[in-house]
Amino acid sequence: MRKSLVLMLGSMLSVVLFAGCTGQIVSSGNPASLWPKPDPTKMVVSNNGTYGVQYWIFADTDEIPTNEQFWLYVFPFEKTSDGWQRVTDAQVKVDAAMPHHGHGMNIVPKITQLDDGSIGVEGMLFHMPGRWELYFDITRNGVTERAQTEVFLE
Amino acid sequence: MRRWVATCALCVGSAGGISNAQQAAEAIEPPDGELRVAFTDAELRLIFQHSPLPAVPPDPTNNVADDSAAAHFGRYLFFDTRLSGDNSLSCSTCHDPTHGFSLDSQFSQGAGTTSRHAQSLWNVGYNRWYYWDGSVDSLWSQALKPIEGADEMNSSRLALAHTIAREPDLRRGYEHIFGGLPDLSDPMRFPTAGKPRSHKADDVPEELLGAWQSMTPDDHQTINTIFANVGKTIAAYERKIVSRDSAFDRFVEGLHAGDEMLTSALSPSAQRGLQLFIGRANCRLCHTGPNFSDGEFHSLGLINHDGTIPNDAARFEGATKVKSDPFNAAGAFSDDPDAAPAKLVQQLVVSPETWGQYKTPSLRSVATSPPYMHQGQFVTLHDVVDFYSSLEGRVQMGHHQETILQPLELSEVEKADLVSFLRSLTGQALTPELSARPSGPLPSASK
Repeated sequence: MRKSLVLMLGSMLSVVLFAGCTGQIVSSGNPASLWPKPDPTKMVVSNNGTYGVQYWIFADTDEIPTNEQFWLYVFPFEKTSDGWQRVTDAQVKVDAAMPHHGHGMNIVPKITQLDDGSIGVEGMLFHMPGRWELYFDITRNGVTERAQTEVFLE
Repeated sequence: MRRWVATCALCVGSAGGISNAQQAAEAIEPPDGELRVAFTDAELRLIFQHSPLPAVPPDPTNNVADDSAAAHFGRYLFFDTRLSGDNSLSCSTCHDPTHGFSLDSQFSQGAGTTSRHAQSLWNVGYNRWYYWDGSVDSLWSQALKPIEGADEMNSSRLALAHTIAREPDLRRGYEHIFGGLPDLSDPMRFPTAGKPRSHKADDVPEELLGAWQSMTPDDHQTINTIFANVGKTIAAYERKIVSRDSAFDRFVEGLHAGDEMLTSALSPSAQRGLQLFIGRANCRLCHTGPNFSDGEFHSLGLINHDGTIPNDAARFEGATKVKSDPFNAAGAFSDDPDAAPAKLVQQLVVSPETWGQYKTPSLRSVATSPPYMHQGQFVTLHDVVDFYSSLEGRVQMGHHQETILQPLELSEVEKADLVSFLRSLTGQALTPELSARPSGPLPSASK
């Protein structure tokens, strides 16, 4: 999602402002309308199946860029008998690594829980091309489950 | 699959200063007389990641980064020996414009002998981190370190401030950009020389340290501001040291345009080298993007220049230093301590895994600045490629190693091809005026 769209979303909905690639994630208001509808084709499901996350990428291009900072906006869901429901009381940590290279990112992303329970992740940086794994560790009531997906950067 | 075919002529010239062995190695030409290299669509996508080179990114931490008068004054200072402790050394002593803004020796001989090779300044404005260990996060802050370095220019920030205030030409240049200098005439408040400790506990003589410690915090701020401003002008000049419009860039332009004249800028050997670079040799993993560097840090397991086992923490120490540097992007002398570079240094990981890692250098104009690696271990580009081919002499130090680094086992022709490609990255020379000291501290229109 392009920066301009990010700014448009932020200003129109008064929810979250990602002030370009140099700004901060700022939470204001609580309109739940920014949450995406649960989409099983986009859901990254945790290892025990309890949770799923959907995420938006904020960068100068439409995809995760190589060796440029980007931001994530993460929406955690819980699987219930009524389908996927929003989770707003979980702690979510986000990290990434290149398992074939044996290293992760060189910077620690800044994670902000926003008023509506979604998660802003500031300062992700995949500094090399190749296969990355993106990790979402969801913790609630002292129990952590990991949802992970892979990203291939050409 | 669509395949592009580039028709080539043998047109890569040889720069001065390379060895006969290197020239001989690079003279190896295709054994079968093949003059055409076909690139697949996938290869073209990778090639296009490396050219054209965009403009130098802005530096929000330096308000005068793109100010022409500041760049002029910075160039004046870059070649000025009055910035050194004994008036004999300037930035250009170790960053010689006639040698790719580096030196042909392994180490620099300043007030002492440095422990790492002077890095080329080509495209230095594109860096995220500075020095081999990334111990600095802005170009202006980097420019400050050699001025006080005991093995380098061995001056002090107090002495520098007095020099700027005392010398009419320097004062004129400084005040044109930053406004009036504060009054430094009271020797009780502003001793003639002095500086704080650096990260090395014992590298500041007691008299200099004592002089600095005798000052008030406000007066420290005054001197540090002048010091930082000097660095910001030097950085404004160094941002203009850009290597672009190489034979490789013309080749890529030709691929885009389908122009055979332009694609002929790259010799068949260099084209094969390019194919290796983005393919089997996988050089592009670290030498990414249009500046041919990821700007980050990796361990090759190189032994020291004298054959001893390395004992240099490198990036591990550098990351610690940059986070605590008062002149970093988040510090009091940054012109935007909330900008992206500030967040980067605040979020930087300091991990033992980075022990022994050194920064990936840009490959733009790499042929102009031998020797290579952090201690100048390799005299020629062919030596560098030889190392990657065999990894001979590599040591495992028990910290994170690049597990992806495997001997390439290149043939002699392949080695020569890679070197040809690297030589094709030499850009257009800077204008003569950018490579020399200007006649005065200000552009003629400002005098």
